Amino acid sequence: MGELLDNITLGFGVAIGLKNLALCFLGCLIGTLIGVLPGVGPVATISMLLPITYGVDPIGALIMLAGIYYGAQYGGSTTAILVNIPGEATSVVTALDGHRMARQGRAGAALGIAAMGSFFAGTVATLVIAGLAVPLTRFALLFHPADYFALMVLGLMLAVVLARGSLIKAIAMILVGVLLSTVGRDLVTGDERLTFGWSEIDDGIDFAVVAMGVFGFAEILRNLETPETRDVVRQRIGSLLPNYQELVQSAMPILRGTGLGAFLGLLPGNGAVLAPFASYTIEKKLAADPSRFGEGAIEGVAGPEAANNAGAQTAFIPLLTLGIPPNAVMALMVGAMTIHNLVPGPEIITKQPRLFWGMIASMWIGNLMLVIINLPLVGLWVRLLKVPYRLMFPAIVLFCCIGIYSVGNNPLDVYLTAAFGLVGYLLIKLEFEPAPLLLGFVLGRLLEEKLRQAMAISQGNAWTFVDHKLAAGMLAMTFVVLIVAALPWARRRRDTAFAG
Amino acid sequence: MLPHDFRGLTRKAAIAALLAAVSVALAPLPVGAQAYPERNITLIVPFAAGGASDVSSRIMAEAMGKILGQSIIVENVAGAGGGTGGLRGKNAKPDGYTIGFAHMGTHAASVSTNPKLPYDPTKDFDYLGIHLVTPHIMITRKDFPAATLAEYIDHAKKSGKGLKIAHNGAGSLSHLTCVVFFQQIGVEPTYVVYRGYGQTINDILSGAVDGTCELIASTRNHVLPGAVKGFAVATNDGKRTPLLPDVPTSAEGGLPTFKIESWLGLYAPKGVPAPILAKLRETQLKALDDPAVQKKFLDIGGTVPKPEDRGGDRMLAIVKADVTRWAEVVKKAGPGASEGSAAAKK
Repeated sequence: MGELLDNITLGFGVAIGLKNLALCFLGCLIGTLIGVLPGVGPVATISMLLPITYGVDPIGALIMLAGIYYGAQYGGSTTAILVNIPGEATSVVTALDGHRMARQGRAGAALGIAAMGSFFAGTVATLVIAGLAVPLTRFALLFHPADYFALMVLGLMLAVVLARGSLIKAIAMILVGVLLSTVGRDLVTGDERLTFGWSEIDDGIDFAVVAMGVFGFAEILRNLETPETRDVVRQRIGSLLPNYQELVQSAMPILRGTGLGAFLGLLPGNGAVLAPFASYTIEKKLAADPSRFGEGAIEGVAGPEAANNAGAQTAFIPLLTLGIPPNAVMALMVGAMTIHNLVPGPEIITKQPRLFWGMIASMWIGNLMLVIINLPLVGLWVRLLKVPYRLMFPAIVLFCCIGIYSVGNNPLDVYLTAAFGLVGYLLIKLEFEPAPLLLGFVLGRLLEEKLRQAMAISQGNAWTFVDHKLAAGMLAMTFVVLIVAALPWARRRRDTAFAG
Repeated sequence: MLPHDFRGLTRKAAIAALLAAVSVALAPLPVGAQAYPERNITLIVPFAAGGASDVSSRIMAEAMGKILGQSIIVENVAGAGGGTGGLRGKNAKPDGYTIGFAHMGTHAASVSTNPKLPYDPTKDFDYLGIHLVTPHIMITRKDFPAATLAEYIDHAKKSGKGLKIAHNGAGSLSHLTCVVFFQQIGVEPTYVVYRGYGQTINDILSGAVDGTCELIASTRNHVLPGAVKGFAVATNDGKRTPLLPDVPTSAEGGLPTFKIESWLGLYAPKGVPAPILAKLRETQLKALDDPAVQKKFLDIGGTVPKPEDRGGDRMLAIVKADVTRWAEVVKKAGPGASEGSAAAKK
């Protein structure tokens, strides 16, 4: 314990220097801004800013890059809440109830609780990294491809709960999402699948393309149907901060979300994307009145936001201690570290204690800064909602297009987004939910890869999913969730049959 | 039409200037090259930022930019295993303001592994030279029951399909290295396919798979501290590499035919005016002599090429030789070469 305190003191000693504080602030600010701009994600930004960090010492450079990373997580929620455009896979869930709250004139409360939930989660996650980084890495290695596959199946089952309407439609959307994720070159055989000869989509469709199309563009199309009748403009904007009752409602979801996110963030292969989805599901299941979810329930913002931020931060553990980047942003961090002659891996804590602990301390400082940057901005963001549609929509579409183009420098991505916008509009009209589709899309690729890896390792023996206890447990849980979800649906259908 | 006319104009101007320079025989360098570069140069990297390709390009961009007195800006154009960025590089205006990055995968093996490759590496580019080489290596989990390459081969022969070897996707350098190695020792292991080394190494560290075939640039950080075992460093000359001085080479281990060194280099689109091409090549060579560059390369797991392997002409020769070499490997492996899961199906 004394050692831990010494280490944390060392870390704060490094992080609190004027230069590192300034870099941390700069990173958080850039991160927030790019997070708010739809489509310009942390991957694009960090790769653009990588050369700038040449001139800075390695600790400062990493502190700034980390700031961009979690700043973008914050900023992404702002766009999801205000204009229903999730720029990152992890803010899809925030859009569900957050945007509904904004339309009810409670945008301030939604943004406020997102910031507070994230700060709390960030603080806890920092402590987790500081205290448990080394033992926790062993946990990530316990996950066999078979276990991972089972986790993905369980994750997809969660999507059923995300949907407000019909169960069948939700499952259909998941399957369409999984199907979309298989577009591109087959990893094992190298054959093209569902590309129709377009070499531009050989590598698959980018997440931002699908998300911005079916969420953002479709939402704009839907709004254009009706002349400008926004609730926000007519009603009072309401308090910029959540009130006491909302805080009480959010407390437990934030706690649960933090735990869930911290746990899933440890998993390799971007397990953190599951965290907000899982948190939302749990809150909806535990709520006294689940029907409020999807209609502006503050718990549906608080829990997933906390989960998202905790996961974003514990994702540093496999990177710093094993040298395994769990997602694209972390892969960039490895690049940044190697440019600065640092070797991510088991030796970094002992060989570079100033870097390791300095970064951990700066994470907490960064989270604090984000609250300081974001809370005053809440008022500004909310006022942005009052901008007339004829100005706001073209601006959003323009930023989306720039953002999408910047992801892969590929014009086809922009056309594809437009096409997905039309598809999304059609889905709204037919009362299909886009959220399960996106979850299927995000998890589909991992689902397939882990299944094939597990089957190759067992040489075609499907019992491997039973032999691995974790996998067996999770598959059993999936089964139970499916039955529970199906029961009221079956009952409802019976009811309608009788009524008819 | 406009850009084309402009190109003709500058070329004419360059030729005129060149003639003038030669006739007066005053300028130490042709005039056309003296003015160049007047603005920033773009370096197209056909992969996402962060990997060895990108990092090595950025190191070169910085060093060459300093010598030229203009910034070289890296543009990442990922997609189709490098094909998208390569096409962009091939079609760029050959004025010396766009150059590109090539490696053994994108500009040699791809000819055989990607039937839709939109360029011909042997014809469409003016190469500037190779800047980094990194030998390939076989690695296994820490508790793999072999200490030497001979024991590895013994164990592989005994296990056959029971040997689980990971690679990073059909047609990847990791995959091709596996194919070469196991062709040579006459074993057909079970392939488990991952999306990239980050995922592969996770399952090697956890012991779910036995090992993989990779570049030293990727694996060095895990071999050095002993997190995984290294076998058969596949250097061309059979000598140990300064990158991993404690790991025996394939020649020492009794498999001298296992020789694969990845090279990373730069190109300009075909048709750059000769004085400008000469200046770019000269700058590239100068950058390789910079001790800071050599040190940075060592840290990312590679070395600058030997003096006889430097320069644009040598790079073209190596590209041609490797195109042929990989065509033979892929042909010998047959259509099954890319079917990693076939083992599981049988």
